[in-house]
Amino acid sequence: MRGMVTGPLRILCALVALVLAGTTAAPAAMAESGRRLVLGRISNEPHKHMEQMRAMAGYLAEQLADQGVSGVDVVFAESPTRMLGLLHEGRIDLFSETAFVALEFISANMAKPLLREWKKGAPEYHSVILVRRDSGLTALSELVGGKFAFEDSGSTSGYLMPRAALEEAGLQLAALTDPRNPTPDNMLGYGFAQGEINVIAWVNRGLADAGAISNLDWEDPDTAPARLKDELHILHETEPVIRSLFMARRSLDDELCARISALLEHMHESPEGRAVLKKYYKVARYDRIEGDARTGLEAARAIWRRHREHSD
Amino acid sequence: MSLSLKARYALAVLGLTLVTVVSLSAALLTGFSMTSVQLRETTLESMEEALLRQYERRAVDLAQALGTSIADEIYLLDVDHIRQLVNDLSGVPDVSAVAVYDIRGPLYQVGAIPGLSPDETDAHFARAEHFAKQAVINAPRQESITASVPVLLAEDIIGRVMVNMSLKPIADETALLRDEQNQLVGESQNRGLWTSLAITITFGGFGLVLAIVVGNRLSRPIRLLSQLARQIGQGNYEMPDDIGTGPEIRELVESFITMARDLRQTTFRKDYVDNILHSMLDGLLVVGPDGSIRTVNAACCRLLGYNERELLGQPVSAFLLAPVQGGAPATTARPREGTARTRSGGWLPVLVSSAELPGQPGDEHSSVWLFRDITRLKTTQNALITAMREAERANRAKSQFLANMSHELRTPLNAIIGYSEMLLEEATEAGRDDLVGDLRRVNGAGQHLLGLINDVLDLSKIEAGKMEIMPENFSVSSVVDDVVATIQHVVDDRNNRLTLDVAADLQPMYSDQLKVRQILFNLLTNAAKFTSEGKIHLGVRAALEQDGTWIEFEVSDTGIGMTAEQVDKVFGEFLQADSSTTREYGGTGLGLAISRRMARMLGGDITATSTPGEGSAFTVRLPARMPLLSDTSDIIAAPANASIAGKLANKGHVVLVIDGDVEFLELTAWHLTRWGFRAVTASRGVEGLRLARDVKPFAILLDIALRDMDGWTVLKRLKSDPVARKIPVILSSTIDESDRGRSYGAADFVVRPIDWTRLFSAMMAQLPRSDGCKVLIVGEDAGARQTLRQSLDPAGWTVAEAVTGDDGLAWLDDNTVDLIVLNPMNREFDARMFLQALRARKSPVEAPVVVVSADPPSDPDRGELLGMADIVIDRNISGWNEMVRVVVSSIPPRVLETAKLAGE
Repeated sequence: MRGMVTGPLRILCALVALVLAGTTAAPAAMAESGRRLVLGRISNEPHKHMEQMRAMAGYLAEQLADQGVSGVDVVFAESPTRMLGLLHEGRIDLFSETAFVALEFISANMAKPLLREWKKGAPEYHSVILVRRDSGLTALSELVGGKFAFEDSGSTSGYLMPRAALEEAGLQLAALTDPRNPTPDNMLGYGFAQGEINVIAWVNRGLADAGAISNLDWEDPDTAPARLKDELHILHETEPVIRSLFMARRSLDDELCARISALLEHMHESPEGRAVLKKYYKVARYDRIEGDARTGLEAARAIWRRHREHSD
Repeated sequence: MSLSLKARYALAVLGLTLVTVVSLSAALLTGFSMTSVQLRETTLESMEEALLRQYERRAVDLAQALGTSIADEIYLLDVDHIRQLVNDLSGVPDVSAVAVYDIRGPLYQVGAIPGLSPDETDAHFARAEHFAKQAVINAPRQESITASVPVLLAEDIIGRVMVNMSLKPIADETALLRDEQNQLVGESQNRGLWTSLAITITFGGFGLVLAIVVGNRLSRPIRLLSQLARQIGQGNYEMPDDIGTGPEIRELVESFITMARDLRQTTFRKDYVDNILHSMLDGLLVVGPDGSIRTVNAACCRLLGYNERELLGQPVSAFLLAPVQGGAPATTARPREGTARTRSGGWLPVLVSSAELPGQPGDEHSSVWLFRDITRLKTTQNALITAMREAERANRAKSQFLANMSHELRTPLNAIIGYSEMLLEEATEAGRDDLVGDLRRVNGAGQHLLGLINDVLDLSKIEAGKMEIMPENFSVSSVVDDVVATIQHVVDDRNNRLTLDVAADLQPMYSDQLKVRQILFNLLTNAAKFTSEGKIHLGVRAALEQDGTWIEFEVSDTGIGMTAEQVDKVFGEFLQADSSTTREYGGTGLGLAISRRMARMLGGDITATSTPGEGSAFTVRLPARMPLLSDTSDIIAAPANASIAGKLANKGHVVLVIDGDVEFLELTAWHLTRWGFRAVTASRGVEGLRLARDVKPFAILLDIALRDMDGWTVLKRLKSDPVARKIPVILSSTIDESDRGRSYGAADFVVRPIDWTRLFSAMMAQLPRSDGCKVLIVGEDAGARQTLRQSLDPAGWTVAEAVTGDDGLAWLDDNTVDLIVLNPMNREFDARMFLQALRARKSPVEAPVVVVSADPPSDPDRGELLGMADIVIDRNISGWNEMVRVVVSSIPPRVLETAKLAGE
């Protein structure tokens, strides 16, 4: 769901993050009588997210003022690694993140989940594996010898979840440096299309026999234009996983965390809160990680573990 | 509001000036506006075109830049990157939509083409995708353009980028420019308008001054004419010496004065004519085309007993009943008798004449009617008629008396003459010379008295119409010889010498031989009587002239002669050139009078020339063939009613009778004449053929038994003659050969002895058919109506009958008619009331009216009837044939003409 960050760009993002962190750290440090909180986000394009972030930051600051919070700052981290470092340094207090990335921070003991986030109105999501309608494919196993388009290597729904499904189907995956290269025998070659629409385009144009994107992207006409999508159909859907979590720095005061959780849990009940939620990545609401939320989180965790094992 | 002429002139000039200036300004302003608009439109079009080219270049540039940027992405199917770039590009101003295609179709597309639905947008890009090279195409509805650029990778086309740019900015820009230019033009036009207004005001002021000046100058002659009019009104017709203006005005003033003088003259003449009209003793009416009275004079009012206001506008037929047709004024040059209805209800006999008054071209003519009260004249006329009838009766009684007395007078004279001759012989033989002289005087006196009685009786016969003509063929020379032999002793008694000069080539003469002989005897006797020891010459010759051969007898002598005055009286009855001559030369003085009457009866005449002391010459001209009929013939009885005869004089149709029997010719001619025809006769076939060509009769009655040639031959020649073959021929013969006659082309056949009614019907049938013509017979006598119907049916007439006058008038309400016959049998049917009602009808009846009257001609009612009806027939002297003849003859010429045309 985000672009791969290349070398020069990574350096530039780090510089920006440092500058922003520096400017927002000062108030937090001098918050002796009134502390300031920091809302962070992983992004190498801070300008695209600033407005959303400030909306939520302002809301939190306003609502937590009675808790001794004098303000909420916004900090961007160009990468998950950088995010880990900032969490470690205590320079980011709160952030929203998708399940698999969040599990990385949880496993690193740097963050703790507070609430399930209904990002873009969806509490959970799953992957859809797409093939051409005229491909004649009816099962994942039939993809042997073919090519598969993943979104990118960091994508939960575009890579981790479908890969797990493919492997569970007994397929052996072979990475292809160029999707036009032949697939090794008895294997399923794959490449990263670097975008949901590219996955669709690859499958549509036959560059790949199948591809995977999230069900949310599949339903989004912006990422799945009808003129490309109409010729495809879903061959397989993975189990749903929790989509996004509102996280807190592991070391953040529990009482405050509870207060924040309580605040966010009822945020959708007020017009003002709904307006801020809508602006903040179209979040519908926050709810406690219980029931299906818990199930979804566990499902995500299972996939994450499988991925970690495979990577190891 | 009435403006003076001066003011009108001024307004006219001012108006003209203003109109001219305003028109000029408007034209300049319009031209300027049109030019401005045209320039503006041209400029805008050029600018719009330039902007469009600029947009096209821009669209192509954008498409090429995008295509260059995404060539790899297309190859790699990096639609996500393509999307970013495309989205970035779609944010560029005026870019409406962008589409990226690879060789398989659309990869990514964003935006919508202005004015198109999504599907239409897709279709448009799909169409643009098919351009092999770079192209700019107009989107539907012309609201945008699309630049279609191929995407190349190593010279291979791997896709296509299409950038659609809205043209709305161009339209907005153009509209903005147009508004600005409109504003500029409007300002310019306002300036032009103000300039025109200024020009108009300036020139209008100038025009006002000019108008006042021109008005003054132009109205001067009018003022002068006005002054002159006042002057003329005061009776001064002199033109001022100094008119003080140009020659045209002088001429106008002169014309004005001339007109005034003419007007005075005209007024004077009008007054003069009015005075004449109102001083006339005769009534005068001017009747309009509709029959209403327009003008009356004082005499008219006086005679009718109405004032002018009561008469004007009334139909003339309500007051004046004259022989008119249908109440419309008929022009008649000759006065006709009529009646005028007076206020007291009486009828005034009047003499009416009328004439058309020329009106405006195309208008119906009015007419002027003049009527004179002839009450005294009618009274006198009636008295004269009575006196004339008395005189005629006395004359007839005298003639009858003389004729009756002829025997009584001659018987004693024969005894006197006979016995005196006998006594004279005996006295001579006895030597009683003393008695001889006395007895000779007794005998001479008896002879003289006998001559006197014979002449008087001859004259009486002529006057009584009992002198008969017995034509026959005879030799002229034989007659001359006989007369000369008879007269010779008289010639010898006075020692005169008689010489004869009789032409040798004289043809036999067809005339009354006895009368020719008597004429010659009288002339020679006179010549011998008034000549002593002189010469008497008798010359006879034939003269061939256009109307036939004439025989001229000239008797000349060297006697005592006559003065011119005596020559004038010489043919008078009981007159000789000098009354003394009667005593000196003896005779009754009736000889020449009788001779001239006889000559005229034979179709000729006698003329005389004489010189006192030198002698006289008498010339008798007689036709070699005496005409059986002559317009002046006395042997044909005159029609019973002279007015009818006048009406019929020109209506008769000529019938040629070819018959070998001279007596039959006479008899037939008599009947034909009574029926209204004119008879021309021929006793020989050759002559008949010639007359048929020359006279062109309407019908021929042909006898089969001619003397010189067969009647069938004559018929065949007639039918083969291109001139005469169309003339209907009625054959007559003692044997019925009608079938043969029809096979030869005869129209009809009558058997001899002639049934005259049958011949009449046959003749009537030859008249031009009057199909469609209607006659209305009104009268109680059913037999009379039936007879008329039977006579008119063959001629194609439609006969309607009515018993009473009311029935007849009612019938006329719904029908048209060409002739009306009134046959009143008793007092219940008053013909005059019928005619008055007829003439007073709103829709006039133009048909002529024939009235069969039982009133004697002397009855005043008969005179009134004559003024109201067209023809009046005396029932007492007219038989039915006469009545039918008159009716047929009354057919209006126009009806006959129409029928003739229809018949042809």
